[in-house]
Amino acid sequence: MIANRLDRRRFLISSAATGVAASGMVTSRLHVAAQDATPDDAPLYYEDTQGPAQLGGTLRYLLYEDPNSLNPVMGSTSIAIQVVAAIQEGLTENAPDGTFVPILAAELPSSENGGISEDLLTVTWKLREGVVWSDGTPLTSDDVVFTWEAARDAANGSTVASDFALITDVQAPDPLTVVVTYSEFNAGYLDQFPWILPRHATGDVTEMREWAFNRAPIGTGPFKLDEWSSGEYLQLSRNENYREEGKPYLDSLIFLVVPDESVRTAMMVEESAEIMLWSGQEADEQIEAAGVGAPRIAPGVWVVEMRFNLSQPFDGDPGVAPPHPILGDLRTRQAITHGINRDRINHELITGTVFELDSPLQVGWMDCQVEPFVFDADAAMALLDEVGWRDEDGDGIREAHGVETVEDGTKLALTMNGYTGFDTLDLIELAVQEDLRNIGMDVQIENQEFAVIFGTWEDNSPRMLGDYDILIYDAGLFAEPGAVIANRYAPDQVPSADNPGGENFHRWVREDVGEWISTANSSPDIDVRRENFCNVATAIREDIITFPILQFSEGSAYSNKLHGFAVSTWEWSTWDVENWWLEQ
Amino acid sequence: MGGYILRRALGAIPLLLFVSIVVYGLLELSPGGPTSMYMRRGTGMSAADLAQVEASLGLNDPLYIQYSRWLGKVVQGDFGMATTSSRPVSDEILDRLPNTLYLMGVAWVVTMLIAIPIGILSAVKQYSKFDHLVTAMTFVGQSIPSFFLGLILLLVFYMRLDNPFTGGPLLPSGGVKTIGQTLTGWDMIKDRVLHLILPVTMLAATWIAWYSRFLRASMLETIHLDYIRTGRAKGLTERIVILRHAFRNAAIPLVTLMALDLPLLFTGALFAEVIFSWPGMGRLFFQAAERRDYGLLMAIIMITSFLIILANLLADIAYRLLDPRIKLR
Repeated sequence: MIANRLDRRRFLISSAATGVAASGMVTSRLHVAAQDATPDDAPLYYEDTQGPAQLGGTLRYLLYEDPNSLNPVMGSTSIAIQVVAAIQEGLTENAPDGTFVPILAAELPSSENGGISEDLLTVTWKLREGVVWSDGTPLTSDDVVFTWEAARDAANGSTVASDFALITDVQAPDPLTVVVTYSEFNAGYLDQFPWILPRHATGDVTEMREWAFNRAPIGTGPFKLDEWSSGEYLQLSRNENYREEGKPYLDSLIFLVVPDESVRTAMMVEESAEIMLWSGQEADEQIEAAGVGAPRIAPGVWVVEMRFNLSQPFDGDPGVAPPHPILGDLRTRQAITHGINRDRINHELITGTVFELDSPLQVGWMDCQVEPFVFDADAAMALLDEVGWRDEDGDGIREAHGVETVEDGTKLALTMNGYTGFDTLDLIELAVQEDLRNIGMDVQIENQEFAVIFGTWEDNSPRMLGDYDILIYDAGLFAEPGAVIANRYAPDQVPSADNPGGENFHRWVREDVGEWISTANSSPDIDVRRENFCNVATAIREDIITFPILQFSEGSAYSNKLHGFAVSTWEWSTWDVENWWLEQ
Repeated sequence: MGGYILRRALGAIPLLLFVSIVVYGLLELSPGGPTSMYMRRGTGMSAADLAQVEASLGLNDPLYIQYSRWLGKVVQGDFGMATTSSRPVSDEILDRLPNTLYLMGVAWVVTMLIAIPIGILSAVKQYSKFDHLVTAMTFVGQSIPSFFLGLILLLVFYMRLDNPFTGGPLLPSGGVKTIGQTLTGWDMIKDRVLHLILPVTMLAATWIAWYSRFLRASMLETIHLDYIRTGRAKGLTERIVILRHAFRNAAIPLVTLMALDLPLLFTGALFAEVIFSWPGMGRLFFQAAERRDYGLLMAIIMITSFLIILANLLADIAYRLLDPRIKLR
């Protein structure tokens, strides 16, 4: 997987980590990340606040494969980015609650501080004073200009070029000022420069693929790379020029490449390592049982949802009309949500911690609260009766008796498509199938290859062509979600030959939703954006376009001797490595 | 013999070409491509960026154009760039090759040092207690899946047994050396040896079983031949009879076997490298396959093919040198 603006997060971890509450540390505490949510259902993230910090020591961090490159704009894998985040920094990063905080920027540009022009097309960044690269060269606005020059063109090898498509110019009027000019307002402007590349330590932008920098980067972050032995280890030591006095606390940081999971687990148990990235439940249990460490988690960005097709499938027409003969009726979709017992799935069937939510937009700074879904099989059956689905032949499956859109006698049967090779998804699908069978609905599970279900319009992916009833899979939302929300829910994003990249495969067309999305995406004001996105969330809930089943957790196994870290939903594990310290 | 070698070498060229065409075609037929690591889960890069990256890598050209471009560079000794790391393929290989030669070489020498004496001894003392013990052990060695043996070794020597002086694990869990310490002289050698013990044991266990069984069978065949009896009748010592007369003849098929195993020194051993975190060629190849890194895959496959052809030739030559009765034509 690639790390870009929309996707700072890792490729999914199969089963979530366990047992935050089992933490043995008295001084550690769990944070309520969403302050205005009720504590009971608030998403939680782990933060170790034990102190005071002890100086020195070497931290050993277990990776399962070799990074491909340490140049973050050139398609680093999610493994590589864990290393990059200890070396490189950007203008901003996300706090665990999803809000943006300035890092190399002195402050966040806004209309109030003059950082955004009145026409919203010019964003002026002020850089933090006195920041130097690890080789002692000062960071200047020219480095930001250079980053844009390198990243904007995919021909250079950039994998994030389209993130820069709206930029017409980047200027450096003085060493600490960057002026970014857009052709149209970019609501994600705060996330424009998650990484900055040094002009003096790289090379010609057209030769980016050959830069020595890709394997020997220079950064402004807390650590610098000393040695990279391919397939074996990456050794980092403290950056003496780091901008925060007295930090980092650790002397050195060694990433060990250990491909075998049982060996990584054994190394944690034997205390030959302090962090096992994305440990998984089996490893977590062994590490916890040995009393040397524990999984530390936060809610993840991956949300498993059932997505409904509102348009008739298999009619050779990828367009919106006519409505889906069964799912086109809101009452039927309501019945499905009443019929599924999420509590059983999330707390009995799935091992490990997952979180429940009612809207895919309930995450991060949006934190949209909608009417909760309720499991009520009787209500589900009453709704189906009302539509005209009754089981009169006694086979346990309802058939149509006066349903307007189908012939009488048609079975209440639907197909649900997921993807293969993910055990947890299989488990959820079987539970959904069983629950819906209990209300007289027959759901066939058809899992497809990853490349098929997530294929493109040109690949004739059934999702794109609208040839499905229900989709079930996990998708991610990001700290700056504007582009993803527009792509998934805006009325003009129904995939078609003219718009093959559209992802409104629900074929849900509501003009008011389109307006809310464009209002949110054309304002720098966080309150305006939140309000409009939450209008979208409410509409999604009312129309039941999607039924969120669970939110996975994000986490790794950490040694009990490691302190000072927080697990963030929005950032890579090493995002706060300058604060980490080891019990000596 | 010079003419023979030349003819075989020339004959290898069309064979290698054929292999390269087949492998190149198969890679192209397999699902995914070098950019598939960029688009997993549909959340990675945008379709437009992906198309541009593919175009700049020349992945959209017809297959025969891509192939001839690749071949044109390879004949000049340039295997091109590894797609996912953007490094020259030769750099990627040279990073890993010394580690592989080192591990495989040591394991191979250890194998010979153990397999040859026990192979000879168990043949000479057929049906003795020693022979029965060796036979039993070799059955175990041949039957036990090597990755399982590796895990058992780790469990015992890394997790269960402790170093009585330091209290730490008796042997390291893997890697080539202790990382984060600069050791010199004896300390360095000791550290290297400690890291070799487990992976070498895992590799050698299977090899010793194969080689010693093979040599035992070959020796048994030889020591019952007439010229051995003649040697004994002439009054030669048993030592001379076995080592000089019997073993030298029994070793001919062994040398063939050894020569044919030569490419292993290059390709490495995936399981041992994975379990003992050894940064070798096996893992490089596996990772290249996972990431659909065509440039790197083609280079490793072609070098391996070349080494297999070379090993066959060496086996034939060795045969000729050891047994003058054999004529190479």
